Amino acid sequence: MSRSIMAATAVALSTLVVSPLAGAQALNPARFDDANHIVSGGFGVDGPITADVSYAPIVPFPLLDRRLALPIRFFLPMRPYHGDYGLSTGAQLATIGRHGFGLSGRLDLSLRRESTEVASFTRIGGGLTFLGGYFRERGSVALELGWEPGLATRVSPSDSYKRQTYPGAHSTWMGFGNGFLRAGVQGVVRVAGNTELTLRTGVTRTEQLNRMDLLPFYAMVGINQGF
Amino acid sequence: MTHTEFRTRRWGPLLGLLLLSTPSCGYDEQALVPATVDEDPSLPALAIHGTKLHAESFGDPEKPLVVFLHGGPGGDYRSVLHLRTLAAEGFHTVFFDHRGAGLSRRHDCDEITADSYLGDLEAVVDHYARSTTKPVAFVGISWGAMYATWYTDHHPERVRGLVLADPSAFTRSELDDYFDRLFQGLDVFGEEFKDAASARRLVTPDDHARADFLVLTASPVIDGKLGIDSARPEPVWRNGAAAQTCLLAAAGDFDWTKNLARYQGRALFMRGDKNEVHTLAHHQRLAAHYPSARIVTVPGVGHDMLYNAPTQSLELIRTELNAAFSGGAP
Repeated sequence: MSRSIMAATAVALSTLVVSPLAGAQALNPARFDDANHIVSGGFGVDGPITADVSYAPIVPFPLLDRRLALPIRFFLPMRPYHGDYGLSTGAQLATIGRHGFGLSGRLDLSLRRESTEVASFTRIGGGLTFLGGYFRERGSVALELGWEPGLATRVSPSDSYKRQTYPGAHSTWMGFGNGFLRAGVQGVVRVAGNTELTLRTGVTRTEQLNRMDLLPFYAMVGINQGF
Repeated sequence: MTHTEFRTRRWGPLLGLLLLSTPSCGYDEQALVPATVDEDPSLPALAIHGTKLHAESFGDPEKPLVVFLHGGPGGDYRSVLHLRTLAAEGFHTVFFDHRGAGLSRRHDCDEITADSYLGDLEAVVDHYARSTTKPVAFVGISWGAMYATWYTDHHPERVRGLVLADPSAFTRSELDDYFDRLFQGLDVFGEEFKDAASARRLVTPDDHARADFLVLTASPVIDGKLGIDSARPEPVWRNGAAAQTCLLAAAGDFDWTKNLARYQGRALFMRGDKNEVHTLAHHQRLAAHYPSARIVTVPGVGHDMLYNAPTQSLELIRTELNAAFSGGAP
């Protein structure tokens, strides 16, 4: 087994083992055979109003006789404060039939950091997303189901929260049971050459299917450039 | 190896993983929010009407009864506790955190209903009045002013006086209109909104402690429109997310004005002049439901008037209560 295949396998297996995510860019798996690299940029609502950039090399994955996308994504709130940021990496595979209908699975691992007036948060999360739909090189449309568990989340109450509200507050770790679900659609349309426009939208619920207040949905638009 | 040992060795890791996946997340809930009366027996509490409320009273029980009602739903009485000084001026003052709010017992949504809330307040009044007929006066802020009106609509003959600071609505249509104005033009690019929205992707509200903690991250989003002084925020113990989320939804198409025409007591509406939502026109619309009401504007403050204008507020409340219990004309 070549070193690149071993590396790709290691990434795929490590994300499988660790399993948690963060909202990912929309990739059209039908492009995996004709593009070696895809760079993306996008913005929209996903929690806060968010902007992201990502890069996904497409590599062979002989174990399953497929090509595998390995996206790396950097995302920020549109107006970041206090060093807010998010990073994620993952792996996406697909099986597409002769008529264009197919399934795609994606695993992600993410790190997200956020500071607020009440507390600072550091979350190592994961993502398991399934797409089922119609994938052609000129475009795709798919239903999306995702699970984004929190692997480990550190919550550190701020000094002002301790001073004004609860002097007994202190940092704590949260494990599993702190994740959420997505259900939505994503579409990709090729507009010129190797350029695509993308849209992901849907609703979010907690793992116990409780409603998430404020913005219980996501809607991201973006642009992909393959080469 | 016994059969039990075999099963433990084989399934132990899986069981461990499942336990880690329980809704509690395996974290220290009191790291984020203070204990309620169920977890801290040292807190003053009142077990009543199928719940346990964080509650305390001050003053001579034989004196006129004044019940203070905090904001929310879901808030607590910490920011109005300084008004207990009225106990030294001849009033029996009562403070309590409502069902599922503040440091009172947590309930799931199915136990936070219109019936349970009205029943709680009736039970609290009767408990501290030590009768079912002794007159009562209410001092309510925001949601508390709505709660007081709700009780008054059911017992107009029993209520002697009302101080209503920034009530939001007395009917469903008024509430819808209020929320439209509250959320209109919200700065979704602002830091407060970003903080609240981000927190909801990092911690989920699948248990009471986490949900209550998340409420705090959202509170500053509306503070600006309500004229609240961010440099001197009102203190809270703990917000009750379920009460905040579920109560007004459970109240359905409510109308708490049907019997207000029978109310013969006084009603003082208080507002702060920095508040862009509870405007004078808003108060005039609500005050019109009462046969006799007057509106006073407190300068230099917003929705936080009772906390950030304590001297003026106390004077207005004292005057109103003295007039109410001395039989002064409305």
